[in-house]
Amino acid sequence: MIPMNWLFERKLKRLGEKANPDPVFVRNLEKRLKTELGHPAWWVQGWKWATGGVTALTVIASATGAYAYTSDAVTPVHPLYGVRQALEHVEERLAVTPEAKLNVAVKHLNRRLKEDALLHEKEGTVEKERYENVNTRLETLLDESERLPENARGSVEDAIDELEANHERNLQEVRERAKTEKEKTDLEAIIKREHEQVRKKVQKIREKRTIHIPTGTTR
Amino acid sequence: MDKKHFPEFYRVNVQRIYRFLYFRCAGNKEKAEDLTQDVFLKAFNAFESYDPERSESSWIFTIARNHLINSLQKERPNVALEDVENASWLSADWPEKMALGYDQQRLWKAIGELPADDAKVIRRKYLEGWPYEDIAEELGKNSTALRVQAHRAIKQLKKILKQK
Repeated sequence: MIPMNWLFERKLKRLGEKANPDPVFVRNLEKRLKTELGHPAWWVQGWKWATGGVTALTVIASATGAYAYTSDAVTPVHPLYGVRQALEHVEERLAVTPEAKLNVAVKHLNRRLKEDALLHEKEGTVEKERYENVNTRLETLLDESERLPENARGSVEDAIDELEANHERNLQEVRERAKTEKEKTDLEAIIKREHEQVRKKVQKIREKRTIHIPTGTTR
Repeated sequence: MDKKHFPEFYRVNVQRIYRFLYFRCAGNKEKAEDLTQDVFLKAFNAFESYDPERSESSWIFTIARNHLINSLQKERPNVALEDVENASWLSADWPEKMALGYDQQRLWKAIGELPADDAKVIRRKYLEGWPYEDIAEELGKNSTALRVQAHRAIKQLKKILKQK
């Protein structure tokens, strides 16, 4: 059970997000700072990944690349899966800010969940380690989101929430499709353990942000 | 601080500075954008003299606050920032300006019904996105005490919303 104040705080943060600047303004100001003041920091950063970006765009622009990158049918057993992994690696390197990196990580993890669901549907089974790896990654993402500046956390936390919901839904669907009792029992144990792990993680985050009343009582 | 760190500094702080200015310009987006641009141009020019030992937020907010006061005083000499802030928050058309949904409008109004000090902390922390340490520095309070205050204010907000 996610602590209730955390949800209310998220509502307050979302209210604040209504006052966000127009992304076009933010980009244009950055461009202006770059061109009028001509500071090399921007173009150096851009140049570093420009090569990778151009390569990625070339691959994506090709029909094969586009298919590998976007199609749900490309699962770990598909011949084009290697192309997808290479494109995702470039996407990760192109994400410059910590917030962008986390958003890309969440997006890729969501993809892994979709692939697992499809694999289970087609092949009938998915290695238990893949499910468990998702939860470990979720916890790592939660930890990393804590290191973001407060104003950058909101969208990443929203994306992680959606990811957790997708993961839970996947596990339930896979459990319903389980062919043997053993598989069902194993999945139930995973679902129960992961709920507990996420609950503890959220509790830990809440305690880190929690107030301590001077008398020593913690709320 | 080396200017090569400025792009990262800009990306981390632009949203917060914009919100700070937006809420004090009575929701005038164009004015908030102009002021934000001026603040970052000033910050860029002064970046090499920024001491990284000092809080990043505190430094850029000082520039923003001073620039805002100077800008307001051109229109209204001797105006106090606090008066402008209060008038801005009390302005009736925020829900329309920010295109707030029904639940968000209720939450906005509920914040307005809190005691002034509590409303200030909630607005700084959640609407503008300041960390507790910077709010504490501005208000001359301890950051732990502020967390207690925010926690109580949230409880009060929930009560207000339940009653309506």
